[in-house]
Amino acid sequence: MIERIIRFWKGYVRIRIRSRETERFLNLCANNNLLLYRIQESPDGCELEISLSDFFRLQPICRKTHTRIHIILKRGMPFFLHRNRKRKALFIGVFLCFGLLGLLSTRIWNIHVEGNYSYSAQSILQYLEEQEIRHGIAKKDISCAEISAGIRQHFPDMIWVAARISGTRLLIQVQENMDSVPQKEEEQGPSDLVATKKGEILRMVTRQGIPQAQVGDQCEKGQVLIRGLVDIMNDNGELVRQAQVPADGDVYIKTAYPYYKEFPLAYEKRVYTGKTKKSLALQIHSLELTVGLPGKAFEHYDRVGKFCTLKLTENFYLPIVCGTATSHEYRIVPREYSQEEARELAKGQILDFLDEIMEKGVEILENNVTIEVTNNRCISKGTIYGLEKNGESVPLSSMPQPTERTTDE
Amino acid sequence: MRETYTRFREGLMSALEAPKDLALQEPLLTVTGNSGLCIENYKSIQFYSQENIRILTRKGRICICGKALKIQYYTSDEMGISGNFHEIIFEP
Repeated sequence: MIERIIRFWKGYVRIRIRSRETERFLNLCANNNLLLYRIQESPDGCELEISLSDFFRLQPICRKTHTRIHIILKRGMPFFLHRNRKRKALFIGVFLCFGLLGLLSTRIWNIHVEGNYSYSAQSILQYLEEQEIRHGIAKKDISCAEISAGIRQHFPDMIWVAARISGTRLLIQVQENMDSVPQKEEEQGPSDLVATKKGEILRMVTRQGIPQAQVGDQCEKGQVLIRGLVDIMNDNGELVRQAQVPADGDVYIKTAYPYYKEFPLAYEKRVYTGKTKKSLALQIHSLELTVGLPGKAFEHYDRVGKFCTLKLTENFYLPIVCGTATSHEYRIVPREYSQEEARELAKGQILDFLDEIMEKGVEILENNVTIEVTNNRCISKGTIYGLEKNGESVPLSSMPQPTERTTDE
Repeated sequence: MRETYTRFREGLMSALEAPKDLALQEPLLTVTGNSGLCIENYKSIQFYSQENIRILTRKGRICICGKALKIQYYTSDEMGISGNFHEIIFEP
């Protein structure tokens, strides 16, 4: 293959030789180091291929062997250039193409991140962007060692980072620490545990400090539940000093969540007519362009779009978004919920509310919500009781320590 | 005398384990099926046609008979022949 390309580049001709001493001609060519290709007998003599430079060295051999040469075919780059010598734009285009290719190959067009597990490739790319390493940056401006060190420093969980340039790609391989690192508990100063909500205490476990309330008590917001000031007594039961500790414990209270929701039974239903209209949409930066089919616009419609961001390489997104948007026409029809439907809907709303508070870590104890359908309205009201953790640490204000009593006093 | 010299040379080369194509300039033929042939260590082409190619070597002539015989490349060292070979004859 390479040999063929070289032959094409240098140019070659297919010639027909007519001689009474064809074999002598061939042997003389070989002895003079002229390369002959595809020698084939033809009705008029013998055809063969010879490179352009060797062709001009044939004359003495032809004279010696009384051979007549007829050129059948001219192939190769020299002939192509000669044929197209007037097409300057073509050559300028080819030259520009190679120039551009050379210029573009000095830059990075793909940043590939692999081995990341907890950090997304996007977050790593964002960090690189902050370091001004982005798609299109010149290769000479990149220091792989600096990138590796920077990533390791910025993402402490990464235990190994390697960056290398391969062609126009910047390959970043990372290795994350999969073993969980025990978090160092911050040294907590002396504090009280203070109620953040009002309610009845149902469960209480004190780990450190003096409890100020007990199970069954009603607590108010801001009330101290566990005190961080511990009295130290001597053997005689006298107060020696007060130790300040971070109050710690679990206090669970019963809290009430009032619930009220109502909605009218009459509602407007969307009935889709089945008519759709498609349009093409193109967004360049903030400029949006929509090309739709001509026709009367719908009065009411839902618009569903399928869009994709164009990208040149794996992570090199262009600021161009294109896709199709489909408008589905609908009519508004007035309807009314039946009693059962309204109750089902209200139940669904209550369940949604319960899910919402359960997500906050509240355990549901009682649900006293009732659903009533009266005067064309559905009303659900009541109270939901839940069990939840209460209390937050509030730093203890420094108090003067009583002086230790001595025997001298 | 010449025969003795030839035998001595052959014996020496055999003792030295030198390849015959290099030492005695024997022709080297590499045949691929019945359609490809590569010849080295020859002197010249004696006759060429589509049915018959006769090649002169230091140890006699090699005659290749067949159909649609073509010389793919021809240099002073090596020659490639393609076509449909029927027989390869070594003539003394």
